[in-house]
Amino acid sequence: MFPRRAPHTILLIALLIIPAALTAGTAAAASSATARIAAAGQYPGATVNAIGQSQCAKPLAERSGNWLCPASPIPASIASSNEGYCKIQGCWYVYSEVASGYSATGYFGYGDRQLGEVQLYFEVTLNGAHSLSRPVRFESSVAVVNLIFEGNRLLYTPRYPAGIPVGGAGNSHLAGNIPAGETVQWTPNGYKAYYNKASEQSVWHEWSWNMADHPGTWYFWAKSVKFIDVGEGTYHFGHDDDLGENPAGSGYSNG
Amino acid sequence: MGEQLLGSPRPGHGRVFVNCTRQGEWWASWQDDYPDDEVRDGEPDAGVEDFEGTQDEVIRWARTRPAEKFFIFSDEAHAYLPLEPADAAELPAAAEHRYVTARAGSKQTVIPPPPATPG
Repeated sequence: MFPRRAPHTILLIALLIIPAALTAGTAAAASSATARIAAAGQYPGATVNAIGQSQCAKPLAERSGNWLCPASPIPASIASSNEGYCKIQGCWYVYSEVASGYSATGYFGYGDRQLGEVQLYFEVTLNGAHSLSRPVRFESSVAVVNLIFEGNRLLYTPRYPAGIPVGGAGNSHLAGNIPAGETVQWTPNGYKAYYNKASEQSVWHEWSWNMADHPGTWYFWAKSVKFIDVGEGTYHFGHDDDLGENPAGSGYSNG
Repeated sequence: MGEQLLGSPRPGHGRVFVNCTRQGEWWASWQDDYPDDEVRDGEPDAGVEDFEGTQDEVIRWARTRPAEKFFIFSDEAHAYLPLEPADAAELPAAAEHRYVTARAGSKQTVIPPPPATPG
């Protein structure tokens, strides 16, 4: 959410995405899961730099503060047999014209200590202009608390190559405290959204969590492969590398 | 820009789409775009209802919607094909408790559809 972004980024987004951005910004100082979920679904916008991510370029022994670093591609046990399109932020898959997935691995820590590893996955199925994200999945090598899944539908225009959220389409799910090694999903039905007023769209998801013994919130977000209007009220996914700008990000916030 | 308020589909209008996820979960969605001249600011501009269940339940639900057009996604054709009508009596009854709507998992505003245009 916005409190995790650099101040200049917040200002830029606020100018572009009012009033949604302002609503999210109101929750900037809040630190509880309740406040986080109250601000859920407020897609972060064209984020470029995330607090804590600058630590990823440093050796572990030289890191300070909180950090979360992507390290994809993820293990074969999680990934699909579909090879997909992979970057350091994750892998994107197109299974058919109406089904696409995303997977990633991230390592998060505090100072010179790696606390854990997370495995992330979501899959989107299209039905006309309706999207269903299921499963939206999370697994951590260590116990985490206040895990929140978030979702939003994005639309793209030449002015918004990174996508902007569809108003009112955001949603979230508080999964709560998750034991180490347990795979959890957005239950019971995942995330659904409907929008048919833009020819290019995607679905955005974020996972955010706290640690019992450390301050702050770690987060990881990603956008699906873009899907386009093919007529008769239906949308199809493009190629697995057909991504908007800034297709994924991760980091840490004080909130 | 980019906001859509949702209401209910209007009988006699819209398209019903049927699809199956890669996990084998069947899902139908009835989607009706309201005419622009019937939509005022702050009111829904589309109606959506959806349903999940077994293949038979979902196809029965789809075929029994009073929509205008009906489609089912074909992995072989890589596209939606017309959902051919069938004798509804041959299909098992849909389990109403499995009925879900787009609104159930979304914050999208739901307001009743606009009144029918006189004449």
